[in-house]
Amino acid sequence: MQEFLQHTLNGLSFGSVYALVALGYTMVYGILAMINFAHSDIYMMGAFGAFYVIRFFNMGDPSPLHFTIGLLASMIFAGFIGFCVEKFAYKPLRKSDKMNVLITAIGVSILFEFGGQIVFGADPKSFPQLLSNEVVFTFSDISFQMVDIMIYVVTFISLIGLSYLINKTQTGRAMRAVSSRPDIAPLMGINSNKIISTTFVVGSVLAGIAAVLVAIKYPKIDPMMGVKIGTSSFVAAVFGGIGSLPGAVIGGYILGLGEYYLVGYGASTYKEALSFSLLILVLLLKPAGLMGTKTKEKI
Amino acid sequence: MKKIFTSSILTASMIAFASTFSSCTPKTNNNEIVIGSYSSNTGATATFGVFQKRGIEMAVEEINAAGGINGKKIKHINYDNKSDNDETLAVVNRLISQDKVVAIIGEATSGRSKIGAQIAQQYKIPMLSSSATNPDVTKVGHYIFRACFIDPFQGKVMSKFMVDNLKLKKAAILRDVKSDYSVGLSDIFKEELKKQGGEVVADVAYQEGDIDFKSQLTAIKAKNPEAIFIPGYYNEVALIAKQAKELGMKQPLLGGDGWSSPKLFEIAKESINGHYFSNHYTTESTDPKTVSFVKNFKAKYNEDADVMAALAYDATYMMAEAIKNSSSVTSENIRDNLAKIKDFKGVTGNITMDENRDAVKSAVVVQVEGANYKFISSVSP
Amino acid sequence: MNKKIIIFIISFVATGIICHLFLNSYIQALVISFMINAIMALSLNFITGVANQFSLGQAGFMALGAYTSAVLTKQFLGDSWFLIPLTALIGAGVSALAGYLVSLPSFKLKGDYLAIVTMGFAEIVRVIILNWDHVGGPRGYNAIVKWPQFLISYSATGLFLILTFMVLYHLKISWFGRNLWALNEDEIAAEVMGAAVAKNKRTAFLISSFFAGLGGALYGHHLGYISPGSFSFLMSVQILIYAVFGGLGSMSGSVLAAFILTALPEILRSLPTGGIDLRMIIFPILLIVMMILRPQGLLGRKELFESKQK
Repeated sequence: MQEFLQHTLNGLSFGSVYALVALGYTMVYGILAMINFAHSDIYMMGAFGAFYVIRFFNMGDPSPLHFTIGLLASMIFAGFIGFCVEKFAYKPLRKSDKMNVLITAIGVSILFEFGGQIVFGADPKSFPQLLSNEVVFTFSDISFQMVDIMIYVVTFISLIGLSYLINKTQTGRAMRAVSSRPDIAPLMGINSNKIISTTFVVGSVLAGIAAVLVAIKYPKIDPMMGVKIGTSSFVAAVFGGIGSLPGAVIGGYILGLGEYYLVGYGASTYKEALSFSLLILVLLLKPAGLMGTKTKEKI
Repeated sequence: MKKIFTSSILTASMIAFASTFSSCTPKTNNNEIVIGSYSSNTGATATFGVFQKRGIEMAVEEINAAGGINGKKIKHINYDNKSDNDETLAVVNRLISQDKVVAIIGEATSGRSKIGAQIAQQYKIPMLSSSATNPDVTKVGHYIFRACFIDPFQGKVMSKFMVDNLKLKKAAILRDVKSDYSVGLSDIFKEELKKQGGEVVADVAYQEGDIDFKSQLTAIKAKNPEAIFIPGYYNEVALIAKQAKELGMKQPLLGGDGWSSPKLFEIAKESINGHYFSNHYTTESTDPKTVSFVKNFKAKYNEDADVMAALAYDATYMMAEAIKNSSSVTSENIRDNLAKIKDFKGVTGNITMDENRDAVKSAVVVQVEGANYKFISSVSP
Repeated sequence: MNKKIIIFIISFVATGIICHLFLNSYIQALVISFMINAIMALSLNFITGVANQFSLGQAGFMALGAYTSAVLTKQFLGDSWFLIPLTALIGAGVSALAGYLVSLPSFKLKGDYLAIVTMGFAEIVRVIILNWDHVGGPRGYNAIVKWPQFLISYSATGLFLILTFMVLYHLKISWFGRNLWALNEDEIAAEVMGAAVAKNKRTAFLISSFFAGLGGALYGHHLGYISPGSFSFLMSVQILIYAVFGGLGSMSGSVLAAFILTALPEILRSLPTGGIDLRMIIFPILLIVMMILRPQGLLGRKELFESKQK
């Protein structure tokens, strides 16, 4: 029972990370019908942004101020990179074949990964401990540190915030408009370009948040750190229904739990195969994912 | 008519193109000794390659500054194989047939070493791998050597240490299923432990690149082992140690030379203190060679040396020694002299080549104490 | 027609002999690599360029072909190099079967989704091989029999390349190819016209994976060593870059692209870049720039030897 509880808590914790990153994938897909392959690398850039800022200002010791600065640095850096990628690599291809955009996204992703190895160095860097290591409370022999709590808190706040943005603000309404009828939206006075950029930035910022939380809890960063998380989060997004925000979150938690149970109860080496098998199963049985809606193709 | 034209243009251009390559063969400068190396400077195992390359470069610089080998300077040519097998084939071929190297140092991983070895053996160029530990590598042929332990030896070291020194019998293994180094060591450890009357109560896997090991550790914890063998690389071991501590696991952690890097403590912090691994040297070593290597590396690259760098450094010096002892600098002579290496005093220990062209050297078991590796015991083959 | 064939055969043989006599082993190895890359690019081009089914899984099919042929020659056929053509074809057959199976449930998927499924398939293959001790697992499969010398390697691989090209080109311009192209343009209209969409897609997959498996087998016998790491997503991406660069839909474009992009990194290697290989920086930049400025690649859908539009 103890073991099961530990696996469950691990799964939920990691599931939160997947949820945050999956939101980015799903938002971009919802609005542009494209898979932003480079999302996982924007995540990585956020972590490195925070790393260098903290190092520059010598803020490596745990404190609420340092944590906030690190978080903001990551959010700003990731958001900025996301903005640039959209503007320079994807925007020119807005009218192109979907395949071309996907190929470009793959190109950007590889560029960041290998470029990161050259610019940042390929070796892992030790991420500073911005939150205290102290055990805040223990529950049935499982200890919770500040960072664990922050992961849940920040994820929760992000979801509420995002939900509010999408459903209750003008911008959110515009996003939904562009998402459902990109051809009509401009006629309604919506600046599509601005909305699309905003969507990208929001998604990237979420990834930046996730990156810092992960970097504090698992204090090792390297240019390839986004690859695995990206793959799993992407699967989570599709599984939950790509284009659906609640779907991304639910998908994230389900996948997190699934992976942890799988690893915990024996078949750890097949973890990657799990995500993809799940993905394939979903795409074949219910392509719209758990929460997605089927769109009828009109002739 | 157009087709004939096109195909002849294509053929002609292919030939012209190819011949520009051949004419690029450098003029052999008799005052230089050309040595080649191949490493994964970018890609999945970039950390290994970069440090391997630095170890070689530093050694070459030192040797040349001291006057070279028998008066001739070394010209070192290194190619990046991008952690890719196809590239490895291309660059080793290039080193041999284009750059006309007399010897090759590389690679850091067993897999790509096997590819390079096949070519080196075919063209009879001696190849010295700095850190490939899979026994198969030197089996490729009598021109292939290595400067490091092989898995069967190192696996035995830790299992002996556990039973004889720590007096423990029940172990769990946490292996990196993606690394043949880790898999090799794990299998040997398991076998040896059984032979000594011990028992492996859990054998769990992770993959290089993973950052969360709580599931595996939780599964291990449930089986109550007395020690945990984690023969992986420091990138993951550091996080594993941290998480094991967070889970309240108190068992001693044991590992292999893949742990050997300053990043281990940098990332793991106190959670790695008190645990043991088998290594080539200890930081406590007062051996002037080791001390000056560590100091000079840090000064030159602004980063601490790791085991890949140290082994590559030694491999270069070993190569230089073999070349020095050769009456004439030919691949055959170098090969023979590499085979004759005995009691070579390197940074990573005292090395002798055995009849399988594997390095025979003692391992030291060290205990981690912050940035220091405290000497616990030494194991000779 | 005959004259062209004779000229071609002469140039092919002449090039081979010249390479053998005057070029060193490095260039020779590159020539073989180019041919294998061309086969892979052609296989991807057929499914993604001609049939417009975006596949990111070539590495998986390659792996199946490579491991099948390697295991057959090593464990059952006593390392006889002259049986490589046979085992390579068997390997290709295994891949074809896999391709067919993958396509069975996938025919409903489009564009991005199909790409992800194929990518997933390749990853699953890789993970299975990684865990399969009998074929070496992470250690890879070693000491695979190679062709005994360059002329043989060149002839065999070259013949396979010519075979691949001829088959795929003729399929492209055949009724079958036109059906596939129709699917490309508008799937619903094509279905209305009775083009048996699903069946055609499945066949296309089968054919494409066959040649990918063939390429994989030849790859294994060229390198002498294969491991799960060789068949990662990055490999699929690399093949994609070749096909896209040459022009999706142009068979000769793929061959040309394979030639240029195999040679390019080697030329770049001569440049001083501080020991870091910039291939993985330049290739993606090339890809992005191409997609923005010239998405049809070098030749678009046209062939090098087509003077007029048909």
